[in-house]
Order: sequence, then C-alpha cells, then structure tokens
Amino acid sequence: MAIAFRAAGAKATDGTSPFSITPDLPAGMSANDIVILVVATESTGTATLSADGSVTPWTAITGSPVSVTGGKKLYVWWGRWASGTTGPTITADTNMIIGATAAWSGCDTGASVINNQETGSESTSDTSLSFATTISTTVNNCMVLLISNDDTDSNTAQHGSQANTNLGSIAERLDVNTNAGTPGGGFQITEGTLATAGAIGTWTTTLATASAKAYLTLALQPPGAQAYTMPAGLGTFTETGIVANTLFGRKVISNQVSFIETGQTVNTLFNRLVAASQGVYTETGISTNLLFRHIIVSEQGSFIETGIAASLFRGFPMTAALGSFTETGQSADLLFKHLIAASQGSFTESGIATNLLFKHLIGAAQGSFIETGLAAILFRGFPMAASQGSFVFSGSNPNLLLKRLIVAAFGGYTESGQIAGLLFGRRVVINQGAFVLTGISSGLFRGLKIVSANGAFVLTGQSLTLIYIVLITKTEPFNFSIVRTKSFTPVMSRESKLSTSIRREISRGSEVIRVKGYPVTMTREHAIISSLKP
Amino acid sequence: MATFNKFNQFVEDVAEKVHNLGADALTIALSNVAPVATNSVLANITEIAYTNLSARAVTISSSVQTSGTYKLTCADLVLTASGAVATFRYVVLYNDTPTSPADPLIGWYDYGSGVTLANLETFTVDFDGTNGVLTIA
Repeated sequence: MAIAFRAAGAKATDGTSPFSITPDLPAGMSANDIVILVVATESTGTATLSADGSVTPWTAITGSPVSVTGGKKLYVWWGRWASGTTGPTITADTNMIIGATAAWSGCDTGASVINNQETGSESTSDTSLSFATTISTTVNNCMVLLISNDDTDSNTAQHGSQANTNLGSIAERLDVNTNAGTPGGGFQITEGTLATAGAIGTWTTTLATASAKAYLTLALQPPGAQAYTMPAGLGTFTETGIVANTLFGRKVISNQVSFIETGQTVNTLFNRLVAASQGVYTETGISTNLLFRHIIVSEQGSFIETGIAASLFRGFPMTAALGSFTETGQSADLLFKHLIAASQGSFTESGIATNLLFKHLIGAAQGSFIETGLAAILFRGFPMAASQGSFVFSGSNPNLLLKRLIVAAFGGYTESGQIAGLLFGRRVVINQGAFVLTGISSGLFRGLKIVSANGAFVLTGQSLTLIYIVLITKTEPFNFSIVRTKSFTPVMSRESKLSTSIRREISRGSEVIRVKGYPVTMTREHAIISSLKP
Repeated sequence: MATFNKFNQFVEDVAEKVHNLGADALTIALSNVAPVATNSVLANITEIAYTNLSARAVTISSSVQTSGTYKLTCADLVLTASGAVATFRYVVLYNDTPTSPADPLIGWYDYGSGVTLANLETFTVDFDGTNGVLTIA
C-alpha cells in the first residue's frame, strides 16, 4: 500500500501573548497514520510543545527548528496516530504562532518512518524558493514533503507552483498563513513521490509575497517488506498394527485394540494347545494325531479331528473326549488276566481269541464281547470253574482217575473220555444221567459196597468177583441168604435154602455160587455187599 | 502454529509406494479455497496464479526412521514476491514427482487469513526442524 495523503487540519494561530495554539488533528485518520505537525513563530522566539494531545509522542524532525534571519522559525514534528481527536498544544514566546497538522497513510509502521530529511533557508526576501537538497532516500516509494514558511502578514495562502523534477505527483497539501502578530506569517506542505530510492532533488516554489524562507524536506518511507511466517505444524500418521501371523503353537498376545488377526492358518500340533481369542478364528490345520494315552485338548467349536486312528494297546485304557471321535484302529488284544476298559458306546472289540487259562478268570464288560478261545483243559481231579453260558468244553478227554471225584455243574456236560478205572473199594460218585461206566473192570472188593444211584446203572463188565463179605468175620461157614429182587438172582449161602433154579455148590473154605450160571466165588471171610440184604 | 491437515489418500499412497518422501520433489501449492480431506491430487486444488512469486520447491532435509518412527524434515520455504501476488490462505504440500497419480497431495495448512504479498514481501513456510513435517509411526 502506497503512502497517501490522508487529510490536513485547520490552521491555528495566535498573535496575542501568551501565544498558544491547539491545532486540530486531521479528520478521517486510521491507525498508523503519520501526522506532521508544523508550527511557525518568530525567528527570534521559541515555540514549545506543551501538550501532546491524542498523538503522543511527537518527535521533532532532525534539524527542526529551522530559523532564518528576517523570517519565521519553522518547527516540524511527526507522530503516529492511534486514536483520539485532541490536537497538541504549542506555545510561543514571541509575536505570534501559527500551526496546523496533516496526515499520511501507508507509512512504515516502525520507528524509521522518516527515511531522510534536510533543512535549509533563504534569508533573501523574494518570491522564489529553491531548495537544492543533497540527500537521497534509501527505499522505494517514499513520499517526500517540502515544508517551508514565509514571513508574510496575510491570511492568504502564499505558496504555489511547487515543483521537483526528481519527484512525481507534486501536490500542495497545506498552505496556511495568518496576519496575527506583527507581522504574521505562514507555511506550506507540498508532497512528491519518489518511486525509486534516490536523490530528492531540488524543490522550487513561488511565493505570492517576497519573504525570507526557512524550509525542511523529509521523506516518509513506506512499510518495509512484509514478512509473513507460517509455522507449519507436525503431521502425524499412525499405523495401527500390521497383521499378525499366528505361529504354530504360539499364543497371540496383544492389547485390546483394533488388532486384526488374519494370519496364516494355525496348525494344531501334536499335544499343543491352540490359544486364540474368541472370534472368527479358523483352525484348519493339519490333522491331529491322537497319541497313545494322550488327551486331545481343544477349544469348543468347529474343530475337526480326523487324525490317524488311535491304537488301543493291550491292557491300556483309551481316554477320549465325548464326541464324534472315531476309533478304528487295530484290534485290541485281550491279554491274559487283563481287563478291557472302554467307555460305553460303539466301541467294537474283535480281537484275537481270548485264551482261557487254567483256573483264571475272564474279565470283560457286559456286551457283545465274543470269546471263542481255545478249549479249556480239564485236568483230572480239578474242578472247572466257568460262568454259565455257551461255554464249550471239548478238550481232550478228561481222565477220571481212580478214586477221584468229577465235580461239574449241572448241564450238558459230556464226558466221553477214556474209560475211567473204577478202583476197588472206591466209590463212584456221579450225578444222575447218561453217565456210562464202561471202563476197565472194576474190582469189587469183597465186603465193600457198590454205591450207585438208582437208575439204569448197567454193570456189564467182566464177571465180578464177589468177595466174601467182611462185615462179619467168621471162621466158620455161616448161613446167609440171597434174596431175589427184581432181575437180580439171589445167591444163597450154603446154610440157606437155595432156590431150585440155582445149583448149589458150596464147599468149605471156598465155595462157588453160581448165579444164573455165572460162578460167584465166596469165601467165608467175605460177604457180598450189594443192594441185597445179607 | 498452523495445523497439518492430512489428505486421506496420502496414507494409501504411502502404503502403495506412490511416494518416495526421501527423494521426490515436494512442492508447495497456494490456494484461497479451502482444501478438503478427500482431495487426492493437485488437480483437486484451486491454485492461485503464481505470478511474481518465487519457486515453491521444498528442500528435504532428512527422511529417516528412529525406533520405528519415520520423520520427514524439510527446510523452511521462503516465498518472495517480486510484485503483487494473488491472495492466498491455504498452503498445500504435494509431491510433484509421481505421474500416476499425478501430483499426489500430502497435507495442507490454513494460515488463518488471506495473505496478499506485495513486492518484496515474503511468506515463509516454517517447517518444524525438530519435530519434522510429518511422522509415521
């Protein structure tokens, strides 16, 4: 913004002692307008700025006041307007005083508003003013003012035809005079622009009335080059996390924020836990092998376990979580004397046949367990203990030892082994049934009973030697009778009355009684013990 | 302190290697129309005429990361008027090197009022020499 003339105030004069004026400030001013205060008084007197008024401070231009012999003394101050309308008060001590203000806008707002100045005077009283200045401006676009006075006692402006070939836009801004005092006087302010810093040149002015002249030129400088500064704030960009890959068997540990986990698929390793936050986490890793006797630990969800089959070792429990776990492994061997412990369900055990050892138990849970093991050997004289059922006992023929018992539960037991020797003098104890005693001839000892259950017992062996009874030991032959019962033909002692159908052959010491033609040897020391009554 | 305002597209451009902030020609654009965050390239900005204005290229001082935080530091840019310059208020930082997209935007500042530079007047973009122009953490 170039320097421009704002306005000028009216002149103030006083020709009566005490000489004092308060010139008005120009109208329409704006902040930082530069106000030029000009006062003229007698060159022999002194003017004093006694009150600043609204503009403060006032600064005298260097070289001011300028006095000229036979003329008036010229005072020039500058001040920066901010606000207010009160003009300064200036007093003088001699003859008269005249003062006025003028203002320019667009000047430098710093303290160096007066770029340069120079004063001069002409004591010769004439109507021409020529002020050949010797100074130059230092900045472009200064406004150069010429301020000069006169000693003409008149209320009419005295100046005109201002010129300066170094300047442009020469314009008179103030030209006042007064006849107050003896004589009065006045002054002018003329401006000219100096676009390029340089010499101010020579001012010329024509006065209406010849006068001595005092003058001053000054250059108002424009504002210095404006320097705008914009402190640039910091821009911050935050990256909220790279995608985290979930490594095998590792946990993801992160503060709760907008962390996104979209990493690679998590493989579930053997016997490792999968630790992941709740969400859309997908677990599709490699199949999990179910190790022997190890637990599968997994979060509830869509986890699918299709690993290799779990081998069920012999004699070891299989521990698996409830679910769709499928066990199709190799067959489990049922070891001797070991238990099969398995959870209830569709578990199928079809292993090798179970051997039923001698005198050992088979322990198995109730169910479809099939036991088809080898036959159990029934040793002679040993009891066979087995659960009721379809047990098949088809082993080697059990030998029924002489004088030993066969103890067996009731049922379809078949004993077809070799003929059991019925020892002499021993009891045959056997349950009723189709038992066939066809063994070697049993010695029926004399005096001993044949104890047999009533039934179809058939004694078909070789001829039985009936030994003399030992129930009654006698040294002499004694009488006994043989009573016929059923199909058995009794044998009579020699003293007994024999039936007619039996031929009596009795001799002392050794008599033979024939029963149905079969000889029976009887001694006197023995009797026949049978179902016969003696 | 004029606040740095980011253009949304910048973060994607950084991620998609549009910018090489350590070597590209960063430049200042001036506007008297407020940019918006959705602007992405210089063509979206209403620039003033740069008549009578000095060069607007920004000098990169450093482009490094420390402890995981990247920092771009630039030298202050002094724009000097050699005559009257059109009024502007917004200072836009963009990358003049990429061609696709052409001249992607980085961020902008609001001076707060219009500035009309006269002859010899200057406008200094005072980048923070300590904290940098921008950081990426």
